[in-house]
Amino acid sequence: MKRPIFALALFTAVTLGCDDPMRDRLLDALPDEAPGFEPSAFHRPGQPCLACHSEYGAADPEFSIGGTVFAVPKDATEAPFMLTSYTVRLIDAEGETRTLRANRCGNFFSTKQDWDPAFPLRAELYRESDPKDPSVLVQDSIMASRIGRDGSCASCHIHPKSPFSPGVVEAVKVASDVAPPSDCPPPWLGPDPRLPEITAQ
Amino acid sequence: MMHARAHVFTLRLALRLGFRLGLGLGLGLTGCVVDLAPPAPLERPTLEQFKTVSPLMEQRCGSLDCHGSLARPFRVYGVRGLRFVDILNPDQALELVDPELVRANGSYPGTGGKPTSEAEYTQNWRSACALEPEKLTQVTRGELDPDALLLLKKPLGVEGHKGAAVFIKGSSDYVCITSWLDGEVSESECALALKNP
Repeated sequence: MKRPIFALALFTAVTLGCDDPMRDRLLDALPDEAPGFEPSAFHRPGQPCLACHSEYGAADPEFSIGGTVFAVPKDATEAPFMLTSYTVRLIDAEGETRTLRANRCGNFFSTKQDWDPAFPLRAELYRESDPKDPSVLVQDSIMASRIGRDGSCASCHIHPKSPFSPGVVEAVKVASDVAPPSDCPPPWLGPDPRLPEITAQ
Repeated sequence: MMHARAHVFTLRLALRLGFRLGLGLGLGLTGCVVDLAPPAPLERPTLEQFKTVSPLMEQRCGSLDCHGSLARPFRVYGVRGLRFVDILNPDQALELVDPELVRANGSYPGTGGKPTSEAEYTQNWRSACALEPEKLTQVTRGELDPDALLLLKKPLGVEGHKGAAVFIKGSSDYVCITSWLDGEVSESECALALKNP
């Protein structure tokens, strides 16, 4: 009699015990892969990378940091779009520095194997000022706070700005003639999966 | 003879009822009596002085992925992280659903957001004081070492802390907080701590 009960308890612990409802809720909130785009370094711009690219999410490779650089049009009715030619510089608590270049869909990341930083991190954004030489960088902005523990930029940087989010990772100094990139999946722009659905009445 | 027996029976019945009634009344009146003497008053360091400490807590503890989160019991509000919305105030509550209002009021974290408000200072002060109110009272009275507080044990890494050790004993961060606990906040140490990267 005791054995079936023990087996049931063990099964329950194994199947339910390791679930994280917060992470599951986040994973459920993310859309499917955009049609026509396979998983690659260019996929799912704006999404919290480590939701999947982590030990919990189990996508390969495991990331330590990942995000997407955006331009935010002044007209609030227009949606933010991804930017290339930007570089993110990160400094960890032990003074180690990494520069991560945004790809053509605005995505930047570091695998955990390449860099397992000591949190908190300071983040700076740089713009490539010389089209012929991407190593010439001009500072765009510095993140006002530190990254405490979450390597997914989009865990906090969610469109639109709200009391709970500073908005997307936004380049401040963007040339007026910059256009949204072609051949990229549409960006994920919320809604904020951390919050319950609230509607104005 | 029968008459006398009836009298005895009535007397016994009256005694029994009287006893039960007395017992019930006694229990009823005394059973729920509690000591209504007020508990010893709690003491806490001042809100006014905390406003010098709050920016440090906002920077060190209050990022959106740490204590700047509604999911955290020890919650820190401010310009560097979570913004406080008074949901009982109809004008502010709309910020939860109206991005235009958020933009107009600067009620978002980071660059361009409005400075930390009085309401946010108060919320942070309450967070810090309500963590261990009895122990804080003892610390405020000088009866207990400040290091016994979770408020210091966590960032010192003495007590389990997801964010690990945030500062070390004797650092300007440490002195900033302990000086507030001592009742004489050190503005210079708090300013120095804020300059740390």
